[in-house]
Amino acid sequence: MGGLAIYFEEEGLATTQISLIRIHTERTQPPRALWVPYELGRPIGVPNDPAFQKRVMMAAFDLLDAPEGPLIVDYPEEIPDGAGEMDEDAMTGMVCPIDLPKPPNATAPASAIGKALLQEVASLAPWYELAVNRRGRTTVGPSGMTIDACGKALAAFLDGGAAPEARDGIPAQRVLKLAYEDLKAYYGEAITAQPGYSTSKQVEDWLFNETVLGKALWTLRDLCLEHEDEYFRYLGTNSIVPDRQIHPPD
Amino acid sequence: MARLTDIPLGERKMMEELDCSGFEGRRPWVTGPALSERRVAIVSTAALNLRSDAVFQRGDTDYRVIPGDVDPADVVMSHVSVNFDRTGFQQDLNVCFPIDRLREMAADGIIGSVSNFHFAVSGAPHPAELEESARAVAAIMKADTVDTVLLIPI
Repeated sequence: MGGLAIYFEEEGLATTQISLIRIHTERTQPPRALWVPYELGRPIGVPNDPAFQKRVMMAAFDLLDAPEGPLIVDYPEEIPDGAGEMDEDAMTGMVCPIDLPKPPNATAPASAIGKALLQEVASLAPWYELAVNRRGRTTVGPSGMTIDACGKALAAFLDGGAAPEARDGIPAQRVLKLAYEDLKAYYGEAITAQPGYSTSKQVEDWLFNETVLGKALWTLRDLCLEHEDEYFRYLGTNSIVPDRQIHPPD
Repeated sequence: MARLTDIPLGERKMMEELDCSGFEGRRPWVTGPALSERRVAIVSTAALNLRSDAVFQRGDTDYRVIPGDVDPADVVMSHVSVNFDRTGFQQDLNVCFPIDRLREMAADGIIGSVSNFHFAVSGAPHPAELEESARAVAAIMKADTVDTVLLIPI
């Protein structure tokens, strides 16, 4: 990020930036940076809190008045407890949380996981639709496949290693990645429509430890790590299960 | 959470060892008019793309254009990393790409105006690999009379 700022300034454009990883900004030394104490993925702080977001942005814009740099300023406002939780109005009309199908046990064949996955995807549909209606948008879609097709693509790979077909210059491995990322987005949007899932860690712990999709992704990771193809091994190493699930902090 | 001590050991080690070289001694410093007169563009490293545009692929160093009048429903993310939160983005685009807030600031006279174009790259490559894209994006921004860039990581 800091490197981009330097390129833009060299082109005659003034820059100010948000910093998430302070040591990277310290090493690059862009002209103006506001370090924020927020988790990766949420550089402006709190979703659906315009006032909070504007305060962060104003602090970044204020750096444009500094007489000289480079400078890194620490932004002091922490995420308030309970931020992002829905209020009672937003929950009006909600039904009780649904029971998801029980994930197959540890010794279940991959084919059983695939079948249960499709059932689970269907059972989450009401919550997903509620989320889309409330937010007026969805982030599901980069795969270009329906969510059922995403589930079937993942299930098919687990069942016998058949990767989805490459398309539009996108290799099969990347198509598979886009499919399971769409599934993760579908689950994330659905579960955050329910009360009690306001933090990313809550959602992640649920997805990777309590759902069939989580079981499928752990299984996919194992398959990819042992795959003969380098791209699949790369996916298994870096790009299926988050590092904090593989190596939980002490 | 973006404090290094809150990040799992493997990811933390990678971040601590990340190569940020190539910018030593480079200290450009561009000033500008009062904030209320500035024309602002957002540049994001979140690998955002329009639903109708090409997704980012592993190793991509090119950029995607996000129009200033974009409907947030048309913006998706195709970053390769799984080691950052996406649930915030799923709930509100503005938590990583604050286009609505920027529009409100322009309407309130806090900034001068919002660029006709904003940009996204994937932050996965080394910054030096993004130089060509950065300079191409800068040319577009200058043609759009942008004078200020708000850079936002993911």
